[in-house]
Amino acid sequence: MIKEFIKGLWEKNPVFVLALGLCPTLAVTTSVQNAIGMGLSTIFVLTFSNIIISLIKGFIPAKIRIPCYITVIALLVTIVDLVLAAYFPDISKAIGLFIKLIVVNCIILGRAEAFASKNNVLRSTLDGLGMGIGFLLALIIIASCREVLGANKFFGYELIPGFRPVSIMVLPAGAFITMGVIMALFNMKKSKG
Amino acid sequence: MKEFIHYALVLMIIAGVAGVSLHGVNQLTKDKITQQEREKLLAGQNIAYPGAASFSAAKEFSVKGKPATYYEVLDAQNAVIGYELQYAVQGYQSQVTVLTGIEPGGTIKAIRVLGQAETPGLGAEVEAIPTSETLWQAIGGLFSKKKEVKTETPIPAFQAQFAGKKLDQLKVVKEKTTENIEAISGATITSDAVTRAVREPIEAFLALQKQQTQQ
Repeated sequence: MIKEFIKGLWEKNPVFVLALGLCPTLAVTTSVQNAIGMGLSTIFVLTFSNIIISLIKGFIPAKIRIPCYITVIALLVTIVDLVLAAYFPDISKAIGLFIKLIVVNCIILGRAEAFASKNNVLRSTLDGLGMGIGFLLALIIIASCREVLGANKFFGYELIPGFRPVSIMVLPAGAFITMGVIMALFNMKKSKG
Repeated sequence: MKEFIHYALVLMIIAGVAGVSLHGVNQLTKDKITQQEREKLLAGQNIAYPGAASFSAAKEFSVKGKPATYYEVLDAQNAVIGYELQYAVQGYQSQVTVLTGIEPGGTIKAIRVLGQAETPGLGAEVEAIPTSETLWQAIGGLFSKKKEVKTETPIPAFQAQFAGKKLDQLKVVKEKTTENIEAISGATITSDAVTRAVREPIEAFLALQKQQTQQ
C-alpha cells in the first residue's frame, strides 16, 4: 500500500524516469517560487483527478475514456485557476499561464489511463499523491539549478553579489541540459542499486 | 446504434456535471476576482500618478490603429491634473501592458507595468525590485530580533527610470544613462517593448489633444 505512494518519488519519478510532463517542467523551472506553485497545483489536480476517475471508472465506456478523462481534468484545472485568481492573486500572476497547461500535463492523463481507471480509490489517491510529490521534488531540483546558475538567485533572493550568472540556464536550452544531466545521474544511481 | 446512444449519454452527463460544478465555483469566486482586478488597477494607478485624489472611468482612444485606454487624473476638487495612458505591446514572448502617468504637457510622472509574462531572470526583470538583501542576509534576518518597517511600495528599478522624462528622451540604449532609458542586460526586446508601450500612447494622445484644441 505504501509502495503505491513511494514509487512516484523515486523508482517511477514522473519526470526523471517516466519522462512525463516535460513541457510544463521546462517552462516553470526558471525560478524555485514558480516551481513550487506549479508543483502544489499539480498535486491537487492529479490527486483529485485520480480519485474522481477511480470512482467513476465503472461508468465510463472504454471507447470514450479519453474525452471523459480530459473533461474531468479540465474541470479541476479551471477550479484551481479560479480559486488562485480570487484568493492568491500573486501566485496566480506568476504561474497563471502554466496552470492552464496542467490540462495537457501527460502525468495526469497518463496516471488516469494507466492506474486510476484500473484501481480502487484508496490506491489511486496514494498514486496521485506520490506522483504529484515526485513531480514537485523534480521541479524543485531542476529549478534550483537553473535559478542559482542562471539568475544568481534562490527564491528571488540574490546569492553572490556581483556574480554574472550563466544566462543560458534560464532559457529553454538550459532547461533541456539541466534535465538531461539530472536524468543521467538518476539512471546511474538506479542501475547501481 | 445503442452503443452510440450510451456513449453520447455518458459524455453528456459528465459534461453536465462539470458544467454545473464550474458554474458554482465561478459564482463563488467571480466577485472576489473582479475586486482583485479593481484593486490591482487602482494600486497601479496610484503608483503611476502619486498624489492623485481619484481617477475617472476608463476612456478609449486609438494608438496606431490599436485600442488603448486613458484615465483622467483628478485632484480633491475633481479638476483634471493629468492623465494615465494604458497600452499593450508585444514583447519577447507576451503582451506587455503598461500604465503611464503624464502631466498635461506630456512629461512622465511614473509608469507601472501592469502585466507581462517575459522570461524570468531576463525580460521579467522589468518588474524586479532591487533586493536590499542577499539570501544569506535574509536567512540571517530570520534569526535576528530587529524588524524592518517597510513604508512604501518599492518601485522596480527599470521602471523608476521613466519618472520625470519627456517624450524625446524615450530611447533605449545599452549603456548606463540617466538621459535615456537603459536596457536590461540580455533583455533588449522586453526593455524596448516597455519603452514603446510608454512612448506610443503619449505621442498619439498629445496629437489627439492638439487636434481637439484646434477644432
